Amino acid sequence: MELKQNICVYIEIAGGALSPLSIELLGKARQLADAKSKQVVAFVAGADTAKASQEAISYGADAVVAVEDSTLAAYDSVLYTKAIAALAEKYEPSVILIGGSPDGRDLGGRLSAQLGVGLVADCTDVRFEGDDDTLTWIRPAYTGKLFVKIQTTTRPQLATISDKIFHGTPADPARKGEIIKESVDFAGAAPSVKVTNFEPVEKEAEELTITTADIVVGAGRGVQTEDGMKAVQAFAQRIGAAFGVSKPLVDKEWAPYEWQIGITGKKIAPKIYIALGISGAIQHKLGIQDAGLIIAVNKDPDAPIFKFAHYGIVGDLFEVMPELEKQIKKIRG
Amino acid sequence: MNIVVLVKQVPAISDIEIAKDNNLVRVGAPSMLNPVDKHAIEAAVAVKDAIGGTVTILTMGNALAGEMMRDGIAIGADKGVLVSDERMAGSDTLATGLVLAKAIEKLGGADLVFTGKRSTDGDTGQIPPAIAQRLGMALISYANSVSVDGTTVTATRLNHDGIETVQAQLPAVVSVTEKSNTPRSPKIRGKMAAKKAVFDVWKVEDLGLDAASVGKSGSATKVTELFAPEPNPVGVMIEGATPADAAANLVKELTAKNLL
Repeated sequence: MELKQNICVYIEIAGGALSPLSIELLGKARQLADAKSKQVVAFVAGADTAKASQEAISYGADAVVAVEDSTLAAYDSVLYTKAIAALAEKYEPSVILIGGSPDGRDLGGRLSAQLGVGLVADCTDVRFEGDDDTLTWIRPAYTGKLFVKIQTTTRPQLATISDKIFHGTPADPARKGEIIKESVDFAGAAPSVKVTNFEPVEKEAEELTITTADIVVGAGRGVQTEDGMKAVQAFAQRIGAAFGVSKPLVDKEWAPYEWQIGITGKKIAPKIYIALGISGAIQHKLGIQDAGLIIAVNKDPDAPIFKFAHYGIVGDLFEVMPELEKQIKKIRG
Repeated sequence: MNIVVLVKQVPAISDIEIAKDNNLVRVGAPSMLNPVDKHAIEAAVAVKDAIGGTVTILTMGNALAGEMMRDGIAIGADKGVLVSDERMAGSDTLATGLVLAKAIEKLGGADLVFTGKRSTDGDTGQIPPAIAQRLGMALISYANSVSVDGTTVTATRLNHDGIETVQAQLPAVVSVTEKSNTPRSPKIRGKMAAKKAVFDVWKVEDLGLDAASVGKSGSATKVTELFAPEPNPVGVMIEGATPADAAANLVKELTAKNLL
């Protein structure tokens, strides 16, 4: 296998296994490599890299190059930079994708200075726009209202990638790949930074509200009964969405006014709004027009909501919901 | 103890609107000190207060960028150095890291370099690691608290879903967040000193650099386009043999378009 000029991914190990972000990057690297008939090569460093190496192959790497050394037991930006820079010099990658975690960003900045190559930070997309191996990196500018396209003129093309942007491909334990061990001389080297204490922060169960949640599910007259509405509410909860209703359900006193979405209720701007059984009266439309993506499910093919929803499904919401939940959960793993 | 604080002048854009013709409408005043840099200055002055030392503020930018250092002098920094040379315009993080590392060397090196975690304009956070690598220094990034004794810096930071306490031997680069401290207010005497302060201005030659290694020619990234995100088209109907099939097709479509 030709191991030079490939799409490389720097793999982060968390608790002995691949970090979720590393899996996301492997999925993207696989797409990029397939587009140019290249290989995906994972770079990994640590005291014990066996498990992560196997996992990297199952998630899409064709080969893994591992630097294994007891000095690398904990991440250290000086030592890890030394290890990955050595691999970059030997394998001359076209690209190295690095996860935009705190450690990954430190590594990226150091590698850029060490190798004297350009770096694009916190990318949210990447694609080939030409025939050669030049990648176009996309990252937000001005608090996300605009985006910039950036190319690097040096090799390897170095970038850190934000998390939860790409989806990894599902693990395939049957995938085969080569694991190569490289040694780097760490004689006399010691970690530059010592972690003396670690306190896990319990993830607070964030209260989902229709005005702050990324995903909001809205229920309308199509729920038919109060129990129907409760079924939609339970669905919202199971997919991690906030729950709101259209005006008629408040008028029926099935839901409190605080839940009402619309111009006389709350104006919302979630990333995704899923309207179930809502016809899309003007007063509701004005309350949801700032949503990033509107998905509507309604039995009536002529419901006005299909004119301004981005995606529509004509059908019974109670038939759509279970499958939607199943598919969403599948993607989230 | 030699303490250097890196600060940056940024556009004071409080908000940006995109006009119908896709032009940018910038809302706000022309320029200001990168907000989190105040905390880097405070961190440096606090170390000086506690164990002594000299605090030098260092910035790179146009002639006006020097003015951004006066607030630092007002709260106790000793001097400021402006690296300003039109040949450096358009420097990316690679070229900027090189320039600032050379400037720190010219200052006689540093035991501690403080920076803000990120700038509000470039927003890359890549300068602290770049400088640490070039100067062979330890790095603690995104510090939420900092304390320094004669030889060691200890800090807390968020990492791996928890709070790490980390320790490094000096010399070290520390990038700080807004949580790291509360910047003090200047006193009359400080304000007077700030008004009178005269800053050294260094050019490419003063740093012993070749003009080709800075500015656009020394940069390895180029911005090819600035664009507004395209709105998603409306009215796309998802078909399926049954509503459940349609739901599955919808999720497929959303996944393919990276919308989910």
